[in-house]
Amino acid sequence: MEITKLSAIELRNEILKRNLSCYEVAKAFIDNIKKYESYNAVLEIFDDALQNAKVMDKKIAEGFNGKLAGVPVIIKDNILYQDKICSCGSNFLKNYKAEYNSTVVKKLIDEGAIILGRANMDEFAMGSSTENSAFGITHNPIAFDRVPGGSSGGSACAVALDMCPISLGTETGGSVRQPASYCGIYGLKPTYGRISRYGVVAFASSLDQVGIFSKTIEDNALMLEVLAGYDENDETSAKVKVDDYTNLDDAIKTKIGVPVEILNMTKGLECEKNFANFIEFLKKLNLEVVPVSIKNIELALATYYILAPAEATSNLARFDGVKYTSRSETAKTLQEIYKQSRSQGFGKEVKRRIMLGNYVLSSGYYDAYYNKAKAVQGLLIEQCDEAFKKCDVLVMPTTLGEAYKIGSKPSDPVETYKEDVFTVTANIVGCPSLSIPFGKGKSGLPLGIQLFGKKFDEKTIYSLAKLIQNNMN
Amino acid sequence: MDLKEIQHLAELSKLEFSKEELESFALDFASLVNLADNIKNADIKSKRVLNALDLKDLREDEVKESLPSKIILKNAPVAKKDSFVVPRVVE
Repeated sequence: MEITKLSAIELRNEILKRNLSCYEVAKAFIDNIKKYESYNAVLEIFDDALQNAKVMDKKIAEGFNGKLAGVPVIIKDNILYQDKICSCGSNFLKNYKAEYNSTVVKKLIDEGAIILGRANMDEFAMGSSTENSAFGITHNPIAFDRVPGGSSGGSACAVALDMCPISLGTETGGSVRQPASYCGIYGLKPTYGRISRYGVVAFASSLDQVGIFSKTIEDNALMLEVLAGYDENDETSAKVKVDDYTNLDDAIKTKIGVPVEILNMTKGLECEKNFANFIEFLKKLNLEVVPVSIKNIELALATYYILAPAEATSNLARFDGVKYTSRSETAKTLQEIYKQSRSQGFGKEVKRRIMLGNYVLSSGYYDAYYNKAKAVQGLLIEQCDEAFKKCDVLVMPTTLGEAYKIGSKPSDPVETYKEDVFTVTANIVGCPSLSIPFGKGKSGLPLGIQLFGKKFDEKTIYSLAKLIQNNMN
Repeated sequence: MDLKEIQHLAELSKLEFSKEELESFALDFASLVNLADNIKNADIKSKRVLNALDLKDLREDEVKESLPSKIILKNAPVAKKDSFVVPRVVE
């Protein structure tokens, strides 16, 4: 049995049956991390991971059977794990050690997961390629000269190259779904409020969510079941009952909505034909497919690139050279400490977004940009609510096409921002959306499709994904 | 957008740029503002603002134990006793 090819559910079963030990499982995956070091997916293998696996073996011998007993997991480098470095892919935080555990890490540990290491990311989660990390580019697991997507590119690459069966990323505008699509795996952005954000470094607090990468639907659902739920440390986490996500019904008849505006937006793009094939595939499964309208979805990208930088500029104000490890050595006055520490510690994209955020919030522009974007957010929420009266799940492509070559994007940042055109809406309206692998691009690289559900109805999108997974081969 | 305006944004952002960097930012900004300007095409009749989350249901504020300052100060670049240290700001 090849350990690293097993799913999380299979690993747990073999471990609980004593066919495998947590130690040998953790070691096999760590060996893979080392083997694929050149991909730069993992920034650090935690030095206590193997020791923790040994401790877990003892606990299991004493009867422990947590939902993730002995399952190796890798976390994105913006999720706090006590006493471990959490750099957010930034030079500013390269020496910062988490003072406490995030709620998601606490839940992983409580259920018996072995956290192997932290994954590379675009600095402060700002980017769609992992080219913006201060610690080097992560490579696409299928085509080394291409990007893995981002910002959670390290987490996606790690799952695709069998460095762990499941990993955690974070989403603000597509940072889990887009790399999942580029790496040929599943990536969930849950409903806003489904998972606690306590201990997750904030980018845009009203849009951020922890997301899940996996190679199977069942593993993804298992992880959501572990992580979901209200947390008194995060008042934006929802007091909504957590479904039994692992008990999926792939026989349910889901009604599928295709936003007509999306059909227009895909015209001429690489994803156009694949999306048409996907709709045909759904019809062959005898699912009812209906047209719906989200009239203002074409404004979602502009809305996102106003709201997200506006919130980021406030959230990143905490990095001031006083509290979080980095202080410029050349600064003499307090003002110099602020300016020089930030200027020396942040990369170009982070500075660009802070500047853009201050622009849209500044006197004279606030009404024209920020308030208008909030109003469009309201319209999009209403339009999605309306669309969901006619269907259970919306479908749309995840990306414009397959993964692009490293360094191939023009210097104009907006060309890269356009990558997010199909993903940002789910964050703006707060709905869950799952990217599933479906089809191939012109170079034979994976493409993804989003199953976009009603709020707190991850179970329906998982069930539909399972039906699709079962009928793919 | 002119360099003076970019310089003002840099000041608001507590960031410093060389002249070359500022010029490069000015170019980027033209494109970014172009993207943001699409929002002006929105036909907004109502000014009703909706959030992705309903914030009506917040718990009462309660005094609870928080992390000890000793632990928080471990990450401070400069700390003394129970405080972060910064240069003197009043004469």
